[in-house]
Parts: sequence; structure tokens; C-alpha cells
Amino acid sequence: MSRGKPKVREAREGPAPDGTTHLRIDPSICDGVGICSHLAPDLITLDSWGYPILDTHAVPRGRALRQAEAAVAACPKKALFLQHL
Amino acid sequence: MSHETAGTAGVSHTRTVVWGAGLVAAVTVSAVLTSWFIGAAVSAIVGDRMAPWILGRAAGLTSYLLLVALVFLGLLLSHPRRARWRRPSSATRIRVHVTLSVFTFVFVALHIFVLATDKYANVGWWGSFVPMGAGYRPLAVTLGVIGLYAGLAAGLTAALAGRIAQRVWWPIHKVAIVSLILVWLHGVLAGADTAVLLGVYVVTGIAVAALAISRYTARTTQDAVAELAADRASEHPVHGSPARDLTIGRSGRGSNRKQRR
Amino acid sequence: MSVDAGAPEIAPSQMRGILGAEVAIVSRDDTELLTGVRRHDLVTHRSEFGAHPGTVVGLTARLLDDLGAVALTGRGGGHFPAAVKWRSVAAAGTGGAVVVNGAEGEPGSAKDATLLQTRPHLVLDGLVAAINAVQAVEGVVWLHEGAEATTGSVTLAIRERVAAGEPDPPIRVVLAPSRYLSGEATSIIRTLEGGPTLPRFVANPAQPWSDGYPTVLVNNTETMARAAVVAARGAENYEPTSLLTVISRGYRRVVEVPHTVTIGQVVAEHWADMPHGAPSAVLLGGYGGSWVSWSDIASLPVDIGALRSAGLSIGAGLIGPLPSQACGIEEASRLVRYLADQSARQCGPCVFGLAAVAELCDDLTAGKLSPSGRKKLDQFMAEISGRGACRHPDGAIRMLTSALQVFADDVSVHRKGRTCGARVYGIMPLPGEGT
Repeated sequence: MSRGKPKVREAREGPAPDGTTHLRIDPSICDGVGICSHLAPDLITLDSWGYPILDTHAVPRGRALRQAEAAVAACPKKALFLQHL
Repeated sequence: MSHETAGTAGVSHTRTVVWGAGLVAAVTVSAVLTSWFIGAAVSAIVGDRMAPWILGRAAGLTSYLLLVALVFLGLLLSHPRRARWRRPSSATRIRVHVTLSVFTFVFVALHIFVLATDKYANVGWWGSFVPMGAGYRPLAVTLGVIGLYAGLAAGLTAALAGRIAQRVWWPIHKVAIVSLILVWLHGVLAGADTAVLLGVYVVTGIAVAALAISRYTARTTQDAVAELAADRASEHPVHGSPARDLTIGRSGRGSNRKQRR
Repeated sequence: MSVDAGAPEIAPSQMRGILGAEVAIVSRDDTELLTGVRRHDLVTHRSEFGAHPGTVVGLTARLLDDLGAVALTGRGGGHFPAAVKWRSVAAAGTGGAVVVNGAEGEPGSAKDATLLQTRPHLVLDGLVAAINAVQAVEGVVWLHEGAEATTGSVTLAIRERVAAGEPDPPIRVVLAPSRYLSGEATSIIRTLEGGPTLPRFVANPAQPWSDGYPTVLVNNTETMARAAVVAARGAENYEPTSLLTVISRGYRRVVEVPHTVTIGQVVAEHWADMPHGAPSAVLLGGYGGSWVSWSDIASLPVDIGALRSAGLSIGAGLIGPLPSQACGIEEASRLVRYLADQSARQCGPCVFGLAAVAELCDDLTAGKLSPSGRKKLDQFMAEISGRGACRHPDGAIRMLTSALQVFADDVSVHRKGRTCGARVYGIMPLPGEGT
């Protein structure tokens, strides 16, 4: 049970409004195109099947946020989005 | 390019070896061709006026082979069965794809520069960028020129994806194969004057076409979802109940705002 | 049938509950009730559980508080507090729908079918009370299309109520495709909005319906029946019981027990194989639940809080004891294969991940899993968790994770390429199998 990597998020953990920004994905839309991992290497890795694993932590301002915004804007399936809590 | 071999064994070892061998072979072929052509060009430059012509054609052929590899890998990247090929990893595949695009761009630039500046080639800068502007085999050169623009569109929009190009890169990327078709014709019409070269064009052309057919005919996960989605819920009539006439499968109530998907 | 004599606290004569001391026997392969619990028609129901919730003065005002007071949780498996869910729907607006989810997500569980076939009016009373409490305008009873006995009982009940002139809001019965994920709340809401009956991603769990669409409150059948009991008897008279499905090889039993009863007592009383020896382990909660060794689980009470502090959940109330002659790894692999096949095919980590895991599990049971294959299995399991639009893949991975721990001995036997000597197979019922 302790196998979860830090980058694998626990589903539906209650988001509390705290002014942070989180990178999120609708996995049912994602087609594993993969450009997100290329544009946001600090936040997104690809799993064994080519689908993105997102860093669930709040996205810090600056470089990481710019990466996240680029990945969101580039996703051809519009599966990625930024959630402001 | 590093191959992540940690955690693989058994069946996937075979795949790793095959993939590794393929990549090494591709890189080796291109490197050998390049160095041979450059070597030949350098030695020729000393006294041979044909040197730019040889160098230009060598760069062209190298560009073509790189473009074949680039498109081949692109088709693999979007192939519906890609999730079953786990090595090399998706991230590595994407990195190799991007790297190949840079190499392709460089060799195309070399190809154009050398032939545009070579007076004997009779192409010139005008002919290199304007359709039907070349004196030498204008139709063949024009195919290459349009292929160049198609390839640049695919490559530059992808390079600017998420910034200037947002997600427009994706539909443009899907027609990038047009670039290869044009370049293939350009090569066959203007650069295949020996049987060996023609053979290279035929074999690589068939290989890419076969992969493209496989990629576009394979069953996708969307196909599977569509089949499940066709299996709809249905209203069960209860005689005498006050249930209203509402049809499942169509939104007959609530606001008329567009549904999310 | 009497409840375990060794557990005086069960005291059937004092416990009224929902089924009382009655035990339902349900067939293994479908959800048709064979024997055990008499169906309450409308007259019997009204004499047992009192007046129509729409006619009880002040009920709407107190029901939300009462649900909070008894800490009623969702019995579909998630155990989300019902009062919180109802309040957030009520706060979101009026004019929506309330859905009784009777398309049991857990193929092993038979409690919802039992309730709908024997206590349909209690469930419908809960539905009506919920509609009034959240100011919705209609009720939906959501069933699997193959569940004929259940559908028949519900439609008969609706007709009884119409004939008796009960003040019900509009209630309709909707039949969902017979798939595991048809019971997922988002599948239901998506269908009501005109979409396919498939789960979808919800960015904000407090609002599972689409923007601009009417509110939808989805509750499991048992949750709805319990809400009706709270409405009828008040929070102070509510007995915290649980409906459990105990799986034997020939049939399933649905029983109602107080939270003080231990799982060991339930198994001893209701599991057909008990005379041949205690089980080696128990699958708790559902096919997306956890395997727990018999020694660890026998003394644990059914109580949700006690189980949670042991890192467990009663889930959808499934108790699946594994006979000691059976192989837990083979059973778990069989369930993983089933769950992988039941993927809605929408999310990559579920479609490809569960399929890859199921393949490695097949290798494991066949004794062909290499050490690197085992490493790959662990890596895949870690990659899949939490990455679907719904929790289907998480459940499958949870179940397999617990199996690999609890049946570690079986794993090492299989790893050496030998058979484990199991003599019985296919303990947990799967839809479409054996028919």
C-alpha cells in the first residue's frame, strides 16, 4: 500500500480553497498525445502507456506555471486544465 | 539518447534490442552518408566545380531519409496500438521525434543553401522558394518547395505549440505526411537517376505507406468507447404511474445550454 | 432463521431494522431472490414503517439534521456522509432529480436487489423523502436491464402506490445496460443529461452534474432505505445496522446485522463452507475491496469506524470468504481480469493499465512471472492508482494489492513455476458465468 509514487495522485482528495493553482486532467478525454510532457517536463511524466502523470502539488508561480499554461494550451484534446482553488 | 533499460527484462529485452538496433542503424546510415558526402565534397571543392552539386544532392538525400524516419516515428507515436509497445518509453520516442525534426531542418537548410548558391544547378534563391521559379526541372523542384512549406508549417507550429500556435499545431501536424509525399515525388523526379537511389525511394515509400495504413485502420480506444456508448439506457414504462414522458438518450429538460461533451 | 447464538447482542427480537431477523437467500448467478424474506406490499409497509413521508409534518425540516445525527453514509461503497451530499444538492438549487441507484456496482453484492424485491416501498419512501428534502421534482429508479425480478417488484410497487393515491412526485424506472460501470453515479447523471451510460470525469465532486443542468442526487438503494427508516422512526430510534452479502459457493445470503457483530460471527453463521473449516481470508467490501486474512478480520466488528481505523471499508457490504483449499492469487487474478474487461475504455491508465496488470496476473497464476515481471507488476499498479475518471481502476488495484500481501505465500509458490495445489476455483460469482 505504500507503493504510490509521490506523483500519483489520490482521486477526489477534497480540494480546499487556498488560492493555489493545480494542474488537472480529464483522463477520459486524454488520448496520450504526449506533447504536454514535452512542454511541462517539471510537472508531467508519461506512464508506461504514454499517458500523463501529473504533479498534484500546487503549481508554483514562474517557470512551472508557464510550463503548465503551455501544456494546457497545447493539448489538442483539451484534456488538461488549471484549477484555481 | 539514453535507453532506459531499468526494470525491463524477458520479452521487453527483445523489443529494446530491436528498437535500439533500429535507431542505431538509422543514425549510423545517416552519419555514414553525411560524412561520406561531406568528405567527397571537401576533397572535390579543391578542384571540382561539381562539388556544390554533389554536396547539395547529398544533403537532399540525407534530408529525405531523416524525414522518412521523422514521419515513421510520428506515425508510431500516434498509432492506436502504441500503448502496447512500451520500449523505448513514450517520452524517449517523443524526444527522438523532436531531435529528428531538428536534424531534418538542418540538412534541408544545407540542401537549399548549396543548390541555391550553385550557379550550375540553375535553381537560385528564387527557384528555391517560389513555385515554378527554378530553371532546372521546375516541376520537380516545385514539389520540393511546397513540401518544404508543408514541413515547416508542421514543424514550426509544433515548436510553438502552447504558446503562439496554441493547439492549432495538431490538425496541421496531421497533414504533415503531405510534406513527405511531396518530398518523395521531388526526390523520385529530381534525385533518383540511379537504380539504387530509386530503390531507396521505393522501399522507404512503401514502408511509410504501410505504417500509415496500419495507423489509420487500427481500432482506437474511441472506437471501443463508441460501441459501449451505443448501448443506451432505456425508460421502463410503469403502467398507471405518474412518470412523465421523458426520453432517455436525449436531453428533454433543464436548460438548453450546451453539454460538456 | 436465527442469528448466531454465540452473539447475544444481536437479539433478533429487539432489532427491527430493515429486514429484521430475516435472511434472504439469493442465487449466485443473478439477483433473483430465492427465499427468506417476505415482500412488504404497500399495506404491510405502511403498518411497519408508518405514514407516507410526504404527509409527515415537519419531516423535511428535520430529516437533514437526523441524517447527520445518525451519521448515515453512502452504502454503494464510498461511504460519503449522506447529509453532506443532500445539503450540497439542496444548496445548488431546486427542480432536479433524485436517483435510487439499484444497478449494483458490485456483482457479488445482492443487498440492493433484496431490498428492491422485499422492501420496495421503503426504498421509494426514501426516494420521496429525498425529493422533498432537496426540493427536486422527480424520482428515478435506476436498474440493470437484466434484473427482471427487481424491475417487476419496483414497477408493482409504483402501481400499488398510484392505485392507493399516495402523494408521490413523478417516479420513473430507467433500465441501464448490464455493465459494471452502469452503476457509477456519473454514468447515471451523464445518461440523464442525454449522454451515454459511461462514467465521466468530475472536476468538482460537490457538483457532479454539468453546468446549466438540473441537480441530480444519486444514492445507493440501501442508503435510500435507511433514509426512509430515519424519516419514519426518527434519529433517536435508528438502529445502526448494515446489510451484508455473504458469498457461498452455491448461493448468497443477505443479512442485516448490528454494527457490534464481528465479521467472524457473520461468516460463522452464514457461510455454507464453515462446517468444513474457517476460510483462509475474506474479500471485504466488494471486488474493488480488500482481501484480509481470517486471523486479522475475524474479530473486527462490522462497524464502519472500527474498520476504517484498521484501514478497511465495508464498502458495498460484501463478505467473500475464501475456502482454505482455494488459491487467493487465482481468485484475485480472476477478479482483476473481470474488472479489466469491465473498463469503460475511456481512460488510458484503465484501458491499457488494467489489461497489462491482468496479463501479468495470468502469468503469475500460471507460474510464469519472472522477478522482473513482478517488478513490472508493482510499477504498473503504482502508475494506475488514482488516474481514472472514476475509481474503477483504483478498486481493482486496491484488491490486487491486498491479495499480493495477504496471499504472499501463494505468490511465492506460483513464482517457482509450480501449481499451488488449489482444489477449488471460481469462488466469487461473476456475471455471465455459469449460466
